[in-house]
Amino acid sequence: MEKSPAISPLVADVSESEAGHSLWSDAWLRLRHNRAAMCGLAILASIILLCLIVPFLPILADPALQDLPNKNSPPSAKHWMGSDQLGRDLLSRILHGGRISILVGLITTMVSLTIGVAVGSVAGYVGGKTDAFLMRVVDILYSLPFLIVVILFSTLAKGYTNDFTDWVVDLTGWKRDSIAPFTGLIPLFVAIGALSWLSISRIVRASVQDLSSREFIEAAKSLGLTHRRILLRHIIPNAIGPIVVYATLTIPSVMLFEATLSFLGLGVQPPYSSWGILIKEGADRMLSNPLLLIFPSLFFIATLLSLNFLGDGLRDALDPKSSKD
Amino acid sequence: MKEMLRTIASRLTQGAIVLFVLGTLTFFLVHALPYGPFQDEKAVPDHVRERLEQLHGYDKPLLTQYGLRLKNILSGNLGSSIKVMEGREVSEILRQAFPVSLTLGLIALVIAISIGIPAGIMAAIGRNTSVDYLIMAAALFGICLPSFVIGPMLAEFFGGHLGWFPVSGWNFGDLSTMFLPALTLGLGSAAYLSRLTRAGMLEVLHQDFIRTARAKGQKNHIIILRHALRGGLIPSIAFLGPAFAGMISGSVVIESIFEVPGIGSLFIKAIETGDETLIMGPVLLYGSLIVLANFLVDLVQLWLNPRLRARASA
Amino acid sequence: MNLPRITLLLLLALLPLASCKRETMVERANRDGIMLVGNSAEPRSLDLQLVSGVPESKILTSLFEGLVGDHPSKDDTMAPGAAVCWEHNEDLTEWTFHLQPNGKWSDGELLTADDFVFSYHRMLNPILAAPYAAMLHSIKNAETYNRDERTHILCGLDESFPVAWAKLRLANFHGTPSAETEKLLGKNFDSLSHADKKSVLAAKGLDRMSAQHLRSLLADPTLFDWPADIPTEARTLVLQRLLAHLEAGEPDLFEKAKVGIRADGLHKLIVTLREPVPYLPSMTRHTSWFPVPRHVITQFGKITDRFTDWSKKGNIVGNGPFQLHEWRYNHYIEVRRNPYYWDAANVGLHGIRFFPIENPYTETRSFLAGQLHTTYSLPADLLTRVRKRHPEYLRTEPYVGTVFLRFNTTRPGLDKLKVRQALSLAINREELCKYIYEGYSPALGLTPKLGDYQPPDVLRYDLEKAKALLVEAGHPGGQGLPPFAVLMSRTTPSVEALQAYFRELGIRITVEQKDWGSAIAAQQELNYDIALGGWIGDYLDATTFLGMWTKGNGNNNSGWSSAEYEALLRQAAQQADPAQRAAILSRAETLFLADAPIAPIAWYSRLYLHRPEVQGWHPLVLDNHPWKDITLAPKP
Repeated sequence: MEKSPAISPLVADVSESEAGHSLWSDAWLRLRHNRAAMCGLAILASIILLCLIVPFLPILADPALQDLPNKNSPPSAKHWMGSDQLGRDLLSRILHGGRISILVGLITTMVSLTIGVAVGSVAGYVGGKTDAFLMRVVDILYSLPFLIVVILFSTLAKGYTNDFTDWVVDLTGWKRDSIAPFTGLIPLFVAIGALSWLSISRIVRASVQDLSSREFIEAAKSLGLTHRRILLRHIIPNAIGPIVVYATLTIPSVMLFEATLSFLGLGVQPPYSSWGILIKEGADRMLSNPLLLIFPSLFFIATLLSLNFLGDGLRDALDPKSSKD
Repeated sequence: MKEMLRTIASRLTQGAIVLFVLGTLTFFLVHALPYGPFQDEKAVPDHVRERLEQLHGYDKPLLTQYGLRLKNILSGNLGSSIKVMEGREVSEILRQAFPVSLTLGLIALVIAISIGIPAGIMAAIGRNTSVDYLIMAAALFGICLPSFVIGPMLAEFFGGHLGWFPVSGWNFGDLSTMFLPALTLGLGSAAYLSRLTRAGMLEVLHQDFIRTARAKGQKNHIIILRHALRGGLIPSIAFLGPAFAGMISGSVVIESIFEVPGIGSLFIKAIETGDETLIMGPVLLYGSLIVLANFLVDLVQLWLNPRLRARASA
Repeated sequence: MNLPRITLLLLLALLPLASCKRETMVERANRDGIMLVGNSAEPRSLDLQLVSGVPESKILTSLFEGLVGDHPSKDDTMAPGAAVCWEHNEDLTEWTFHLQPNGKWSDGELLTADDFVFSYHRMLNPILAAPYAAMLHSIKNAETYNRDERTHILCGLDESFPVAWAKLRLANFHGTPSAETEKLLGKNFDSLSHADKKSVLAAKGLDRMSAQHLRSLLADPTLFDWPADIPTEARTLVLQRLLAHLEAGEPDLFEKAKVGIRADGLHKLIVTLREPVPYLPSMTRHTSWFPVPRHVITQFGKITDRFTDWSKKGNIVGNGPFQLHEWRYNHYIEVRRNPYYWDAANVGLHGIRFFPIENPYTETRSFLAGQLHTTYSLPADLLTRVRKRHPEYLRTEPYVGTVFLRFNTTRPGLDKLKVRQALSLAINREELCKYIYEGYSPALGLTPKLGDYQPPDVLRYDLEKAKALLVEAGHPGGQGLPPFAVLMSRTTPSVEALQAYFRELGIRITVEQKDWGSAIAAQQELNYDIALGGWIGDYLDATTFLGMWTKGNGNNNSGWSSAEYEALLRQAAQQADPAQRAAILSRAETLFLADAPIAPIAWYSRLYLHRPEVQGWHPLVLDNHPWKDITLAPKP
C-alpha cells in the first residue's frame, strides 16, 4: 500500500490522468491474471445482474405468489429450484432476497466507509491530540462485543421502524408501500454500520499518516493549499488502494452480520426477505425440505467467496510485494 | 519494568472505560425500547402495572434510575431479573450460566487453535502445492459459512443420522454434548487462524536467518519448531484476542441452535422482553471477558515478541 | 513430515467420543421412571400466584394440587384433589369443600383450610399485583378487595352507613387521568389553583386520593363533584374514613371486605360466591385456585412481597404429587416423588424432567433423537413428514383455543358492520386449515366445543355474498376502502394467505409486524387496523371466551361493545340451570358473531410428538394431564 510509482505525486496532480492511468492499469493487469479473483468477479457480476433484473423476468417476477397445493415440491420446469413451504418459487425468493442482502451489504459498507475514511484520515493527517483521542475512541469501541451491541441497536431499530416509516411518509408524502422496504432497512444500516467502520479507520489512518509525511505534501502545504483540498484531492485518492480492498472485504462481513441478525429475528423484517431469513427458514425446515437450506446457502456462500477472492486479488494487485506471495 | 507497569495500568483503565461505555449504552438503549417488561399476553390490569412500575423504580425519572443502577453495579449488585425470571438475582442466574458459556468458549478456542494453527503451518510449508490450496480453500469456506448453517447440518448429520453425538442440550457430565456446539463455534476462528498462521509463517520462513539455518544443514522440522514458530505465530496470537471476543458474541447463535443453557440464550430472552437487569448482566460479563482476553493476549504478545517488549520499556 | 502424523493421531484420539451404540436418554429415563418433557420456556418463577404462562402451569401442577383434581381421560369429570368431596347450596352460591384428612405439605406439615384462606387472601391482595387474580373474582367481594375499592369496603359494605351503596356507588372513585392532569400531578398540590386542584381530584377519584388530597377536600368541599343525592354528612363521613385508613398506614382490608372465604375447622373450606357458578369445581382446577404454603411464605417476607425466596429450590414446599428436586436455570427442572402426598401410593412416575426448549424444530429433532418423551408442540410444516415416517408418535388433539382476526371497529371502513362481515365471509377456513393451520379445525364460531356447550354454527365461506355485502356497504369491489394493515407479532404464512383472500374482494392488506410486546400494546391502545390473534381458554366453560368482550375489558381491544351482549352475559351468570345457561350463552355468542368485531379462523389443535410408552396420557381439551396418573411402560 505504501509502494507508489516512481513519478512524484505532485506531478501526478498536474498530469493526473496519465499517472493514475498507469497505476491502475498496472493493477488491473495483475488482477486479470489472478484466476480466482476473475472467477469471483464473474460469479459476483452474474449474481448481481440476476438479482437486478429479476423483477422484469416474467416467470420469476412475484416471489409472494403462493401455490399451497404444490408446496415443498422438488425442482421442476415450473420451479427451477422447487417451491417452499407456501408453494412460492424458491429461485424467485432467493433472487429477490438477494436484492435486499446485497443492498444491505453495499449501503452499510458505504456508511462504514464514509465514517471510517473520515475518522481515519482526520486522525492520520492532523495527528497529535486529536489523533490520540480518536484512536482512543476507536480502541474503546473496538473492545465492545460487536454482535451484542449490534443486537441491542437492531432491537431498538426494529421497535421504531414503523414510527420511522410513518415519519418519512409524513415528511415526504411518498407512498408507504414503496418506501417501506427501504425505511425498514435504514435502521439496520445504522445499527451494523455503527461499529463496522473501525477497522477501515485504522487502515486509512495508517495510510494517511504515511502519505502525510511525504515531501509532496510538505510541498503542497507550502504552496498554500488548504487542508481540505490536500486531504480530498491528494491524500485520499492515493490511499484509495487499501480503501477499496477493505471495502470489498467488509461487504461480506456485513452480509454475514445481516444474516446472523435475521437468524435471531432482528434483521430484515417480513414480509421482506433476505438470504439470512431464507437460510434460517431453511435450517428450521431441514428435515422436511433440505433444498430450502441448500440453495439459498449456495447463493450466499458464492457471493461471500467471490467477494473474498476479489478482495484478496485486489490486495495483491495493488501491492505486489505483499507477503501472501 | 516501570514502563510495563505503566502499560498494564493504562490498559486496565481503558478496560474500565470500555465497560462504563458499554453499560451506559446498554442502559439507555434498553430504556429506549418501545415496549416494557410489564406487559403480558393477557392484559395486565392498570393497577397491577402501576404497582409493578413502582416496585422497580420505573416511575422515577430516567437519569435518577441511571444513577441508582450505576451505584448498585459499582457496589457489585446486579439487581434481580424483572421479567424473565422475576425475582431471581441476576448474579445467581449468571453463576449457573457462566460456567457453561465459558466452557463452550474455551473448548471452541482449543478446537480453533488445534485445527487452525497446524493447518496454517502445513499450508505454509507446502506452499503452492495441493495441500496448500486445499487448506486455504477449506479456510475460505469456513469463513463464509455462517454458524447457523453449519450448526444444524452438523447436528442433523452427526447427531440425527449417525447418532454419534446428541442433537442438542448440554450436560457437564457428558462430554459428547459439548463437542458439536464447540466445533461449530470454533470452525470460523479456525479458518481465520489458519490463514493468519500461514501468512505469518511464510513471512518468517523467507527471512535470512532461516536460510542460514538451512544452509547449516539443520533438519527442517527443527527449523520450524525452534526458529520459525516463535515469530511466525505472532499474527495468530494477536488474533486470539479478537477471536475469543468473536466467539463470545457468536456463542449467542450457537446456544440458540443447540439449546445450550449459557449466557447468550439468557441475553436473547431478556432482549425480547426488555428485562433490563438481565440484559445488563450478560452484557457487562461479555465486556469484561473481552477486556480480560485482550489484556492477556497483549501480555502474551509482549512475552513472545522481544521487539515489542523493548518498545514498551523504551 | 511429522505434522500429518500428529494430526492423524489427534483425530484418532477424538474417536472415543463417538460411540456407535449408546443408550438414548429416553431409554435411560424409562429405566429410572423419569419422564422427559419438552416444556418450551423457562418458568419465570414457581410462585404460582405470580405467573400466568402455560409452561409454568405444567410444572406447577406437578408440585401443587388444587381443591379438585383432573381426570386423566374425561374433560368434565372431576376427581378428588386436595378436597375429598364438595357440596353446594340450592342456588349454587355457597360451596363447601371437605379437605383430605391426611393432606400434607411436602415438608410434612398439615394442609388445612386456613392455608386456602391465606392463599386466596394473598392472591387477591391488591399490593401483590397477581396477574390472574381475576380468576377468583366470582368469590363474594373478592373483586372489590382486589381492586382496593376503599370506599366500597369502608362504607358500602357497612350496613350501618347512612347512605345505601346503591346511591353511593355513583360517586367518582377511580378518576379519569389525562395528559394535563399528569403534568399537574408532578406539582405540589397545595400550590395549585382551585380549578387545577379540582381537575387533579377528579382525575384521581376518591379511592386513589392521598392524605393531602383528602385533607384539602375536607377543608374545601367544593373541590370535588359528588352525585346530588348524597348528603353532606355522608360525604364528610366517607372522606374521614378514607383519611383514617391512610393515616393508619393503609392496613389490609381483607377482613373488612368480608371476602367470601372462610375456614370451618381444620378441613372444611366454605366459599361464598357473588352469583351462582355451576362450574366452580371445574374452575378450581386452575392454578390460580391452588394453595400456597403459609408457613414457608411467611418465613421469607410479608404476604405482599413479590420477590422472596420461598419458591426457590431448597425452600419451596407444595402439596402436589411431586416436589422440586433440581432447578438448573435455562437447562432443566427436575421434580421427584413427594412422599407426603395423600395419594403417593398411586403416583406412577419417580420423577419428571422439564426441558425449556424454545425452538420447536430443535425440540422435534431432540424427540426424534430419543431425548424426550413428549414435546410441547410440533411445527406445522413437519407434519407431513412425521405423518409419513413416524405416525406412531404423532398426536393431534383439539385444544381450548381459537385463532381469530381482531378488527379495530373504530377505524374508517372497519367501523361498518357489512365490511367486517364481508371480510369474515371471504376467509376460506377449510383451505387455511388444510395447508397452513394443519391439524387445526375450521372455526364455526368463537368458542370451541367445550363440554356440553354447543357453539352456534354461524361462520361461512361465501365469496359472492361477501362481494354483495360490500356493494350494500357502498364499497363495490372494495372501492373507497383504505388498505388495512394486519398486525402480527410472529411471522406466519397465514397472513399472506389472507392477503390473497381479501384481494378477491378488492381490499388490500399490508403486513405490520411488531415484536410481541409492542403488538399487545398497540392493540390495547387501539392503534392498529386488523390484528391476528388468538385466545386460549383458562377453564372449561364458554365464559372464558365470551367474558372478555365487555366494554373496557383489557383483553377486548376491538372498540366494540354491546349493552345487549353484556345483559345476556349477566343473565346467564344468574342462571343456575346448566342447560338454560348454555342456551343464553349461545344466544350471546350468536349476537357477538353477527356483529363481527372479530373473524374467528380456526380452533386450535395441539400437535405434538409423544412416545407410546407413556401410559395414562389421554387427549384432553384443556391439556391438563394429571401427572400422578402417568406411568412409563417401556417396551420389553
